Amino acid sequence: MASQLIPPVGPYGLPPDLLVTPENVTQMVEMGQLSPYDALRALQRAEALEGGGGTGRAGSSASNGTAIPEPRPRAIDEVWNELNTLIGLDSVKELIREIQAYIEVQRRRAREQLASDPLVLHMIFKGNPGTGKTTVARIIGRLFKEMGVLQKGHLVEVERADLVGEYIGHTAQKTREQLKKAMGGILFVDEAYSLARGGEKDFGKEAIDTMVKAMEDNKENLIVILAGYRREMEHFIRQNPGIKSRFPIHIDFPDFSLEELLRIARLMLEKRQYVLAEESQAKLSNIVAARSRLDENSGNARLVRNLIERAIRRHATRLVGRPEATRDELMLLLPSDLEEVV
Amino acid sequence: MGRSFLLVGATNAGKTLFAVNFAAYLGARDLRLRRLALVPSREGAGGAGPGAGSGVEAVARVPFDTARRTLVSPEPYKTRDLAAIDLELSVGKGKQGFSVVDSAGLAEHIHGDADVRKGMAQTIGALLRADVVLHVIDAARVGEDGPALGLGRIDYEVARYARLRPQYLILANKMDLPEADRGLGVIREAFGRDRVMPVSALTMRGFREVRAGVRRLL
Repeated sequence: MASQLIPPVGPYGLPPDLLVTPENVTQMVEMGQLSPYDALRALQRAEALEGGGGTGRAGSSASNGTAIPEPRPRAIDEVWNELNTLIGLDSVKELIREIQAYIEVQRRRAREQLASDPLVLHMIFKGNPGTGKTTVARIIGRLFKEMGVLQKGHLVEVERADLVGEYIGHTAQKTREQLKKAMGGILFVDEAYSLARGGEKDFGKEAIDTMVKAMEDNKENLIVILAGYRREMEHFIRQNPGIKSRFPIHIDFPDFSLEELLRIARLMLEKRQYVLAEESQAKLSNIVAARSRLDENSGNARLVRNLIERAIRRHATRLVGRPEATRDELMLLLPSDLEEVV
Repeated sequence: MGRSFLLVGATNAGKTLFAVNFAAYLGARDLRLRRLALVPSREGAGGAGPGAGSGVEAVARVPFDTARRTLVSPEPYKTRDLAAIDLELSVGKGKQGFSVVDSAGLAEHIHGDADVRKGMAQTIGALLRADVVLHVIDAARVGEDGPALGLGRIDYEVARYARLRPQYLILANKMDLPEADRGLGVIREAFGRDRVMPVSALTMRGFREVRAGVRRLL
């Protein structure tokens, strides 16, 4: 920890060839080469250079109240790389970048003793199934972990049945169980609007209340994401005004365009080391386009994944009886392998 | 031996009086003072001080009255070396030892007196390895128009460095003076309520809270 060289500092200006280290700092103060003021500034730099959340005593800064743990830049880059490999979702990425910048600046403000808002990072995800909500939530969890916002950053995915019980008192108990699992990470409630159906007497309301209470009690270490169809979620928020103020971040997940869906398909195949024959590409495109017209909720990546997984299985059935199949054949998906998933 | 609680701050903030009176408040019979030579004097830094080099610590037992008379002064730069005061607190059914380390106050500039500089160097050395930092600030001298959040520049830098430490508490001292109230508000504004404790080293106001805070950190 100690032997780090740190550059000369301070408005009081040290001779540029003078380097301050935690070892020689006291001697320099004693010899009158460095003022206590500059010494303290140099030591702050030394700690900063060590990379914040690093070693020893500085490590547990999470425990001392207002201090927010320092970020670890490299791991954060890795998470961003992963987010950037997701196709489309430009507005989502942009918003996440804004959130990250906001956290970062709040942290710097806190360091400069400026008033900084408490971080309220509960979110609402609106979008059709298969538009990347869960995938993005999982990545956000990792991003927040690397930024030191969340301790663990894992994702606990739940839906109404995981939260709502069958008799009085059962719901709070079930909800608390899930919340406990999610501590240090993200509780992702899929089709959250279903908690509000059935009106006042429904136990769904109790689940919401229990969740909101846990959010207040664990401000530092729990993030809740409510997800679902756009229209239903907007209705849900309108019906429950308390929700809107407690979930300040709203992210819209637009449907993928046809072109994006095809790029997703290509990426999936590439990862699995398969290729589409030329006619297969055209056929895939036709199937996806037809489905999109048929059903407004189908502009999604799950459709593509199902199509491809089905194709891979059919390809396997086709080749299983032919031990002489070549390496190329083992990779190539023919149009006949592609069949619409019902 | 237990953990050490380092008293640190600008000169004349009231660190030594706090140390002496806190020891008295905790029921010690007299002041058990250990001179610490944490910074090994290098060659050229003059003759070895008492006990330096050999690593032997000089222990003195001083009655509280004498301590208040001889160690505390309204003039700055009175304390010039590190001195540990060994204390005990009852924890559960037993007792837990710890020490409060008094240090030479820091000044912003390079001081002309080599002895004073040596004291400040020791303080910075101690700050590097303290378990718990108790930052004593003269609340009566904190004003909103001060250079950095109303704090003196040296207090501001001490705070910025010390808050990187795992355990960091601020004692807003001299609360017996009427001007101190406003200063306390400024300090709380800057550092949050949790880690700021208003005290008066003179009247022992707030010592109960400090004792509770220390007990939590033992």
